[in-house]
Amino acid sequence: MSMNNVIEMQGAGKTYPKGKVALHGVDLFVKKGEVVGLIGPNGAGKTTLIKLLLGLLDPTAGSVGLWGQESTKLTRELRQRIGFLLDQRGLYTDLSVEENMHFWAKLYSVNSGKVEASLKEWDLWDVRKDLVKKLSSGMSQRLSIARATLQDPSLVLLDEPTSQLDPLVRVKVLDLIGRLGAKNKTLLVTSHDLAGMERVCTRMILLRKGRIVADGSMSELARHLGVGQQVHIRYRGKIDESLMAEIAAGRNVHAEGSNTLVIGGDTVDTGALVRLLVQHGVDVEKVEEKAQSLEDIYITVVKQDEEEEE
Amino acid sequence: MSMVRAMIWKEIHSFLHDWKTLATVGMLLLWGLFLLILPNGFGMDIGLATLSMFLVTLVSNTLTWKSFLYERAENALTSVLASPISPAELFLGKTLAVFLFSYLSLLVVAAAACAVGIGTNELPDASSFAMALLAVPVWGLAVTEIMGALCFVLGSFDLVRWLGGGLCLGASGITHAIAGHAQGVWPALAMTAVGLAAAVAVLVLFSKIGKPRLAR
Repeated sequence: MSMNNVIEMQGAGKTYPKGKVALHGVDLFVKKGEVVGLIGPNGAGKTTLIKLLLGLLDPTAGSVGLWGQESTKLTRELRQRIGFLLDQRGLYTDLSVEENMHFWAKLYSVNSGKVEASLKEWDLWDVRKDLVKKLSSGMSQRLSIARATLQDPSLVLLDEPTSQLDPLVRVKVLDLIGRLGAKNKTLLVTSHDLAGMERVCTRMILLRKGRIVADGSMSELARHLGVGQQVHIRYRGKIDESLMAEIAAGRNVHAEGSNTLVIGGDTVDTGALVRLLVQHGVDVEKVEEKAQSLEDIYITVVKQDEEEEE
Repeated sequence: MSMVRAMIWKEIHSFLHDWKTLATVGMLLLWGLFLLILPNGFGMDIGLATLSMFLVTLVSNTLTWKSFLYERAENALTSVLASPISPAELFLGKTLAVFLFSYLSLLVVAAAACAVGIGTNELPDASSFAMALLAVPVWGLAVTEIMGALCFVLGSFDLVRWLGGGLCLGASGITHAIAGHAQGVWPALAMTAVGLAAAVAVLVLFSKIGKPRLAR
């Protein structure tokens, strides 16, 4: 394994004892300072991937390593550098908020002054004496995030950090991810909050049915999936079949209403399209270029999955 | 040892917050106290060593369930396994917390009994004291470790409860048989050595289990 990557998965696979295959030969390399968003439908293998990285699961194929060491055999010093949030929060519900944090501080050799600062940062100071079982879901999630970042980790693995949060706290969590990224920390974040991920992640990975199907920046992801750009053209006049065939060559075209064309593709040369229409006597009234959001891409992919299953 | 101390700290706080656990432990100890102070324990000549062993292992049984299975049910075990603590430290911290809570509870009740002058009209002999102060704690720890390991491996409350009950009766029976015929402190020292060997063996075996297996 190489020391250049913080995360290094080579052909990593996981098949559970009952035969369910969660990951198929995943290759994933993450360098220091990258903020990676891991997206995919439920059951795509996101949580399994996080658990493999944390050494909570043994890979059944390939290798999984952090800082050049096998994840199941990490030294204590390396484990102390990992902050994590799992989908099941793992808080002790019969302990108070403060006791949960103090226990974590002891495990990570963090002084108690940081506990106070962290509880105040996440607006949990006033409820520090309350038992966790009496907290709302949002408060528990905040406590989990406070706990995950208590020791100022250099690698942060977050599984669904913005779930069950109100909009204000969601923004705060996204800001935190952004701040950690700016401090050159390495982050791997799974989420269904696609708009939020688009805002803070420098790299996106799309996982489908246990396989990485796209990996790169937003534009690379879009290009790879062929759902990159859309041009909406409102026109007056008639488009005959031969003209329509010319427009559709190598592009996805569909009509929206009686006088609007939606043209999508890897890259769409809007100027050439407009010239083509004008040359054929079509009066172009309005042209609108739209870059597709992560949400559009995600929905397209999930629809493809559903169609394949049908 | 800082990880073990952290785990003991967490476990003791967890016991103190749970009134059901405290009530159960209190009831068991009061019951033991009654057996000690009533004339000859309802006609049974139980003896200090046997009663101590019975109570320590019984209270440990109750607390082991709380400590090991509850954590798994709450999904907290997965998180703690991903932290820097090793399986051996996790296991030792838990078993020591359970054992210390059980044994200290027993000592508090015994001290209270002595303070109010009950059960002190006839002092136990040296053998019984050696049993109660050496063999009982070490056997209590070994029994707690075995029950804790069973909780991890079996993950079933009912099975562990029955096996724990059997261990508790077995340890008390052995103590009773040895204490009944013991002369001097050597039988107690031999029992202590056997208990210590069992406790170390279970800990060594447990430390061989990897985190992925425990996280299942």
